[in-house]
Amino acid sequence: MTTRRPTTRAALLARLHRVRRLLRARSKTRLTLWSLNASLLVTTALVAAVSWYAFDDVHDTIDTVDTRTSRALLEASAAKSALVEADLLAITSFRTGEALLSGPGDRYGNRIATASQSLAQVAEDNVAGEDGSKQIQVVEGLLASYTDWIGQANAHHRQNSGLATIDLWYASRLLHTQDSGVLAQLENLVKVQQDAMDVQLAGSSTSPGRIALLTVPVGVLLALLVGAQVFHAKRFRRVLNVPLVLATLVLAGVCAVVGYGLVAQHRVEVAADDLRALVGTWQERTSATAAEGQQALSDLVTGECRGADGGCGETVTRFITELRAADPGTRPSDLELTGGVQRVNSQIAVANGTADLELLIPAGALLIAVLVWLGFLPRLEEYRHRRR
Amino acid sequence: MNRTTALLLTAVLAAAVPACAGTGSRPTVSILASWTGAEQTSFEAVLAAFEAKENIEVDYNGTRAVGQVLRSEVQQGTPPDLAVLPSPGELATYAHDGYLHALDDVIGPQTDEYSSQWVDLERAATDRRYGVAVKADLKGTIWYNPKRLPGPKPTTEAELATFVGDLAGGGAAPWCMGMGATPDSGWPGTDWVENILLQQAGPDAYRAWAGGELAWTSEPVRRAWLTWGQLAGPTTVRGGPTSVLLTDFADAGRGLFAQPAGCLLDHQATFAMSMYQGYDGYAVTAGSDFDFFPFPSSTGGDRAWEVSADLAAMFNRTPESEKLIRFLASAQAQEIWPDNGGAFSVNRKVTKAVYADEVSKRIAETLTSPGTFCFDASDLMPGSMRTAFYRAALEYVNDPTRLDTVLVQLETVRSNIGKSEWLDFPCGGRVTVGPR
Repeated sequence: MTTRRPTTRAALLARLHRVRRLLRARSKTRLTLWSLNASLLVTTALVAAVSWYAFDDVHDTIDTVDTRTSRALLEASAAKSALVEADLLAITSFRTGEALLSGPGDRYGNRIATASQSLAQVAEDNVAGEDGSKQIQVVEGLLASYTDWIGQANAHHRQNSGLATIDLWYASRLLHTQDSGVLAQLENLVKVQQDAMDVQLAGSSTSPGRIALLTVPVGVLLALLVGAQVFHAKRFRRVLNVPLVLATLVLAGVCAVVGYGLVAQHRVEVAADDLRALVGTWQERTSATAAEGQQALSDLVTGECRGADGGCGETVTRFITELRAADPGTRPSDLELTGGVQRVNSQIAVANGTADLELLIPAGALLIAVLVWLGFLPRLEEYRHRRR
Repeated sequence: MNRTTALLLTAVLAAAVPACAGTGSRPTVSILASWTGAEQTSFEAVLAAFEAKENIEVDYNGTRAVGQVLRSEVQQGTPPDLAVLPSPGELATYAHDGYLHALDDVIGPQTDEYSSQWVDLERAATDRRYGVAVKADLKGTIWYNPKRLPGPKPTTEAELATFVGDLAGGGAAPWCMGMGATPDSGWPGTDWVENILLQQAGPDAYRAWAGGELAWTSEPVRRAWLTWGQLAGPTTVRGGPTSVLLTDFADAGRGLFAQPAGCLLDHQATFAMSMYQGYDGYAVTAGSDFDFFPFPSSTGGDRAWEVSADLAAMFNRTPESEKLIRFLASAQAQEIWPDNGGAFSVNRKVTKAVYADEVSKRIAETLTSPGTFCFDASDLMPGSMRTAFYRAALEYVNDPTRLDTVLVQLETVRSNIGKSEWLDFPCGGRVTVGPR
């Protein structure tokens, strides 16, 4: 039997072909290693960024609601309440004759001062931007006119002029006129602050779209970690790449931190609902006091009209008709309001309690990056060495 | 790039790419005015036409405290591009202080559209045009219900006095009157004094008085107050003085349509038409349910009209603000609001067909006809004088016997105001003296 030996040229070609295939395979593995490593690091950075953003956004919103929005809303409500109380006190003082010696009275002055301080606080905490600022300017301008009319009433009362009651009427109308009075403007101020709060909450809301935006990079990173694990197992016959397993666990930890932080969004939304309810309670108190004050004004004015012939005119007649139709409602106590404020404040504080966990997100991401690098390093070293 | 690498990069990109969508932005112009509610809706219809025509977005801010808001924005160095000022006095002050851009080279002379009287008024006591009247009203008009008061109306002051005297003998009071107008209660009374002074003493005395040159205790001013008291004193107003003081000016006119009639005449500006048509419980039509005649003039010759106007002015000159002010001054824009009702244009090219009734057409005709127009004097006075004037009107209604005391008090206020605070604002059509 004759054995055919390959010719020298054919053997050389075959060897060259084998070497080329080997080199191509090595090159492919090396490229895959580098690509996987780079993809994992980039995606880790992306996960860190979107997680940090989501967490930070939610807690920024909570912080704003805590330090500004809730105060602006409650102070605007308090200003309304203080003004109607001041109006009632002034009318009572003139009706009972106390005004001859003490004018509208010290308590009236105190309530006006309280209202002014509350307005200043709203201006400081205003979250409604230009709309809020303009509304505050309108209220401040009208409030100056209101106190001016009360001052006129005081001066006329001391002169025993019938204009004192007229001045009080103008002052009270200025406060209570529907749509354009001071109280209506303050109501607008409350509304623009509430609208701003709604925008704040919607801006950082955990809506499905935003959750998806957060979930996609996390899912991709998880898929890459699993893929890298599978690649290592198949290509290098390693059962488990320990650093990559640890990185996967850290990723789960980061997800837990982010999820826990995002629950705060739900908590602050609940607190916001309670805040709206509390504003409604303030409004009930304002309405009840206003009804009492307007009844006192009606008594005072109709007393004057009876003295003059011909009645009180169209406006007073309509005022009395509307007053009779209005339901004064119940007046919530100070204790009720204070309890409500404390409840809202504590809810917001609880919601904001997770803010300190924020730093765990970049720390976790950094740890993932290091573990990924460690997981790839031996194979990368190996392939760099073989290339030489 | 091998397939694995390509897939990996695709996955990373898929994770990284947030929804990015470019949004085109239109140029914007900002405008501040006092109109809110229904008036805002009407004005926004004008602005919408501009936006559609020029593809420029208008940022409209409507606030009742337009004076305060504008002052604040000007002080902060961030005024709106344009502002519509309800007080010509404020326009003149901003023009004098150099905050406004003159409009002469922006909108041109417009001699075919605006009469020289209105251009005089829009100059705001300067030698350049600083304002454009977006809408205007006549004052000194007396409203009545033609079904209750048919027949000729008085054309002289004496005839008016007799007319009122005759009405006083009937069941209803001659005059509907209300002084309430928060926060400026009393101004409906100042309109009486201003108009009577203008009709009795003429535009020159009116200008001198509005500019702080004529004493409150002078004979023409005292006579105007007395005439008001004689025509519409305690016995000729509905309900007597207390009722007048407690009634809002906007409610006073209800008596014209009440059954039985509460009162028969209402001295009010032409914006009263919108008030009447807005009364709940009354469906009234211009011409058949209400009409007007002018307060008689005693000066002889052509009468002068007291007017009010909302004037648009330019704080920032940009291509967009130039286009908007040109549009606001144009007949095309000025037709839109009157077409919706409740406004009158002084642009002569606005066809009278846009007005829904003959009464409105007559008002528009008067506003665009030759004649002398004088801005509401209290709007031109310094703030402290204006407030004192409002309060004085209330004092006079409450107790007419205190007139001399009230006039001395007003004179004290006038004499304490520095000369620089007064405006020399000539009546339109009577620009004979240069700025002081």
